[in-house]
Amino acid sequence: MSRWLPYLLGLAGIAAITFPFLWLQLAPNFTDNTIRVVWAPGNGAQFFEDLSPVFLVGFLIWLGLRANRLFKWDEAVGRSGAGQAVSRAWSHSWAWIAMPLVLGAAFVISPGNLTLLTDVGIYMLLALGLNITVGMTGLLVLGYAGFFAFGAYFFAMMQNCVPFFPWWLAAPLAFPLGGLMGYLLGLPCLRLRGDYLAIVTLGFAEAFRETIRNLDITGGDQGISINLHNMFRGFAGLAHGQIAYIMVALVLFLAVFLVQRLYHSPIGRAWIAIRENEIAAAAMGVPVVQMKLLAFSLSAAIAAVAGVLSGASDGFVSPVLCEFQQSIMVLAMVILGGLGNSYGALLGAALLFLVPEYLKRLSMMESNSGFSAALPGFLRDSLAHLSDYRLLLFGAIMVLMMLYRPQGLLGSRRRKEEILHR
Amino acid sequence: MSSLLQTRGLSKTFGGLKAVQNVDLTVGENRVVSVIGPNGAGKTTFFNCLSGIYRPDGGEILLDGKNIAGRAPHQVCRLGVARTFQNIRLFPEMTVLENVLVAQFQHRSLSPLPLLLRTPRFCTREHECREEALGFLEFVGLHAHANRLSCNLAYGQQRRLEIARALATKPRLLLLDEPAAGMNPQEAVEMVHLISRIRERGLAILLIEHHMKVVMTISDEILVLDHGVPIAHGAPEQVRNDPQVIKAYLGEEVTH
Repeated sequence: MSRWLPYLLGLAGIAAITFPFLWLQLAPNFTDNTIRVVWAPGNGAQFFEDLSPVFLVGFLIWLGLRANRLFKWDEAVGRSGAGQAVSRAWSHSWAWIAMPLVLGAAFVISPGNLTLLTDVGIYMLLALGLNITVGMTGLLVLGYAGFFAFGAYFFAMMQNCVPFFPWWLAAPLAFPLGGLMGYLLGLPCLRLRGDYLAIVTLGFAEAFRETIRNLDITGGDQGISINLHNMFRGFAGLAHGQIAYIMVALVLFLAVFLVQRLYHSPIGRAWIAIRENEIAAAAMGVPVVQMKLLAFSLSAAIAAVAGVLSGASDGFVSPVLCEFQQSIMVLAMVILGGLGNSYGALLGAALLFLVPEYLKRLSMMESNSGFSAALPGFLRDSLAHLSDYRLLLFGAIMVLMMLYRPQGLLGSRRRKEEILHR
Repeated sequence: MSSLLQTRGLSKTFGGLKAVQNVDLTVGENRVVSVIGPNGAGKTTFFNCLSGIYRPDGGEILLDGKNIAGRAPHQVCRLGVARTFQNIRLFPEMTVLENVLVAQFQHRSLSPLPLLLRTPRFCTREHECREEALGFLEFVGLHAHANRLSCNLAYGQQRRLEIARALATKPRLLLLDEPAAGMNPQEAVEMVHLISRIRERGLAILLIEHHMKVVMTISDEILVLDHGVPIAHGAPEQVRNDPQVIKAYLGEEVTH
């Protein structure tokens, strides 16, 4: 209890300070020239509604970190026999709380925020996938968005060109297809030492973008609108946004489960061993090329599934999906959150996606309120265009991170464990 | 004496440098054979050829009579040849226990469904492997440090961890590349004990070492390399008094 006391006090303090702003309003009465303070619950409700994606995502990542004991072995095969201990790990699981909470949110949160959450989820999926290759196996990939766009276009083409194509089949098909693509692309360059993969994937993403820009069937620069109306038609009476959100949430849960189970298995250990010392890993019997190919294929497959989800939620695909900036964005998410840590990747994705989004909202709010009129002009302008400077902001954040926290926000938890074991 | 590993005319050149030339060596079951020679004599290159890190330019490496020259390192490891490294190559960000667990890779089933669902059988296997890995750590005297990061171990402990890790691949032949390098006399004596205990487990050992005390105490046979060429081969006593070996180590006696 005493552990939680500071947090509770802090929350209470924040609540006390924000109380007047959130729940009360000044109401001038012009007939008798008085100003009264009135109870305005709508403001507070609006505030929490606006921030609900942040709360939800933050809570989920925290929950994920807690639930991580589900994947670790130290508890699963602790002092007692294996079978018994595993059941204990399951009973500790927090994932059971997260699942209904996330799915239930589809019915509570406003459509606008739901779309935002869907987009965050897609980027979290991308960061999770890229983290396998870049963070765990230590291979640099610079054209990750190519696989993302591949998935999106695959979905769009299937929906528009293949009659009676069931929409739910796209993701299960995109997974092996994306994996195959990663495999074929990785095959020639993963046999070599060094960062050939970075250049080859970069080339792949650019070539893919030029191809879809110049083919008639892919709609050129305009991209393709997807016939969404025959997609989710009459699906349990849910709106399109709700279905997209639930799909993304389910896939994300599945992906976290898949990646974490692999990470805490001989395969995951082999990946880290390759990152740490490739020659030693090979000499200890780890088939380095196969393991690298597996990691990269899995990354590509997850990106393709994310692409399908993106197409399904936006109803629109365009060559913007595989621009270089997208690849770098996902890479930045992984690096910010912490290389090699799945929850770090999720956190990085959430931060780098939500912060610019809220900056945008903030500048919109500012321009509507009288508050900004009191500010000096240059400050007002920079506030209004704050989200336009987000790349500058990212650059600054990246430089600061590299200087002061090169392991990322969540970093390697191994270090923490090490300190605890002393 | 049945031969486990045999090299015939093994050669490796880098550009114009003949790093290893025509090395013939036979390692019998459960024998300790040392390879010595001055710095740059090609001892580590010889090891790298044996363990598949380099592809030899000529000659054969016979393991149980089968040529394994040119195989990838993990294939060689799978056939029962494990090695340690002269410049320590641990997995620094992994714990001591995990370092050993990585080496069990080839003995683990990787079928995806049991792995993802963690069937009771898979859990039991993981449990066994952990116990086994702890056993190897106990064997080299590191089990108290199982949960420390390997990069935080002391130098001598890192060397012993390398040996535990190599043992976890369950080899029949262990290649030790200067296990006693940089150790004080006390630690070197402990290393001799460790090596003879490894031998008691039925392994054959091929050893590169500069510590003459270590080499002379535990070797059954010694091969001396100089500039990649074998200049002497035989029992320790024989090699110690070989004029060519003395010449290679101490230089030629100048007569006035």
